[in-house]
Amino acid sequence: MSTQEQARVSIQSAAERVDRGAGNLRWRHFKGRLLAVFGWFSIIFGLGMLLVLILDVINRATGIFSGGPNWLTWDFFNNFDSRFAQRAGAEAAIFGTLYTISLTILFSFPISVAAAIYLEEYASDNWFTRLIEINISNLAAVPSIIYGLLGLQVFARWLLFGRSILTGALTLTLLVMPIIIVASRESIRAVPLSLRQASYALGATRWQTVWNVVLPQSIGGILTGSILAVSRAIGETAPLITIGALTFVPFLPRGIMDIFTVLPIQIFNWTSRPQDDFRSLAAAGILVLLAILLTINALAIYLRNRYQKRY
Amino acid sequence: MTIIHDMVRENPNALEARNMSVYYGSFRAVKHVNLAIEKNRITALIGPSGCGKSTVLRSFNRMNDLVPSARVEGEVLFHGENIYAPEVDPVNVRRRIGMVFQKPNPFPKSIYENVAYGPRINGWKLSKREMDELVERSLRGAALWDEVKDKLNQNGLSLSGGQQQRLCIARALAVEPEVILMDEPCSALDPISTLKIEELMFELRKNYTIIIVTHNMQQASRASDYTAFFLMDSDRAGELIEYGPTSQIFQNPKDERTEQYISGRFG
Repeated sequence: MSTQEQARVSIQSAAERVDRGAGNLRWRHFKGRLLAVFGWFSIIFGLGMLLVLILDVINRATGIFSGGPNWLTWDFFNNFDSRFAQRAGAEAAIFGTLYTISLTILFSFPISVAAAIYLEEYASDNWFTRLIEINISNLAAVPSIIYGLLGLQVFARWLLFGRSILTGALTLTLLVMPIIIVASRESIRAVPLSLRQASYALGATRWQTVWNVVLPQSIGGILTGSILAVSRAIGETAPLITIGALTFVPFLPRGIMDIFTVLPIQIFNWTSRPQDDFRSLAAAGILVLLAILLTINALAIYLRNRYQKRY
Repeated sequence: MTIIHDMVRENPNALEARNMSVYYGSFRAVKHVNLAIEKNRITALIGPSGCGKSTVLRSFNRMNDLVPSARVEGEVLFHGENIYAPEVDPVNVRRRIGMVFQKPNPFPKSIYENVAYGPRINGWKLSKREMDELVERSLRGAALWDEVKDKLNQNGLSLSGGQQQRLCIARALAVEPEVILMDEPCSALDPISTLKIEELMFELRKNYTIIIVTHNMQQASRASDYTAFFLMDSDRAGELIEYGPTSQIFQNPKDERTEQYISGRFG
């Protein structure tokens, strides 16, 4: 814009200056309040439902409100499954879940974070990496039973791992990897470029910059994404049924090549029994599953806070 | 006799760009720059936005390598060696030619760790005492020691903007570079902090060569020994219009465009 044009515009607007007012200010404020009220009810609805669900499950399992029998006893943790509700317990399922999820974390976390680092910090931007990116995003949305079929064929049959804990953990690893990769990439991308530049300008190599600057900055987001992913894996039933995780396992797994069952399958099985007592057992199983989940999440949050503080 | 001989023979230039052009993809951002930077002097690069002065600065320590599409033609000589020669490792170049950025960018670590970062990543085997000394020396060099000596374990981000920028300078000094590149180091700072950085630059000049990009004409005129004026040509490629002692550029420019720019008629 030349100076002459600028001058003409400013003269005109000065001559035509009128007070256009605040317009529909009341309406604008009203819309803001409307949204706040809607948001409040949304939260109440969500939390209320969750509360009802949890209280119902607690009542079912322990009879604490209705005065029924308590199923969440020492025996529940120390007995294997049985066709008599009084003698049935979840020991095999609890240990199966713990083993499987530990192995899943062990496999999926380092591989996924390494993949995310490679894609964000090392890979050049070409059609091939873009293809990989699109595919990873799509994989995160694939129904879990598909992974079960893949696990059955690749791990159980081709690699001869059978219906073992290893097969289950590897299948769940495939399931959660896309989620962790996507979350880690977002988190790594959010690290300011200026910090990377500062590191490079001091003579750091790419790896030193990733390790000392990028990862400490992004570990919070990476762990948050991993919590979500592991939470999903711990509740998965379909892929594990597909690879043949059993319900009735009357012993503790002695190694990663043993057959196993997990809590969601055990719960599913109990809820489909005709006797009402098994539904109370299922409720007890749900509580144990929730407790394991919350413990893992708490651990991840603790690690995140500790690491961020130290940094 | 030999002393005089050596002084004559010694290369007076810290850095020398020879016919340097910088491309971003197919776009030529800077063309055919010839610029010799004298040792232990402050050289200011000035010019309007987009004239390529920051690009030139970043080409001096291969920071442009981090932009995937960037490419440099021509030579940049450092100790008579082309830093763009295939056998040269850019990591090594960047240690010897440090950089301070436009916005203060301390790491979210303690003040001590910010300064110690460079020596650590460069694999210097220092005892605790040696490291303490290096940190103190660097912070003193950046005129920050007295303000932070009692809170070295506090986060670097807890400092004020001007202090953060001096922390970044201290961090750059800790790896003992020969040249320090400054990319508009005062543009995010208030006048008092700016003045402190300028005073600091005069101190640093004794031991280091400084190249500074600035938008501030007063800063260039009062705080530099040499000034290089850049301008875009009709293809939007930056070129060096005039280069000489600052007093000459500001009082008696040879090129009409330089005269117009420094007198504030455009840019």
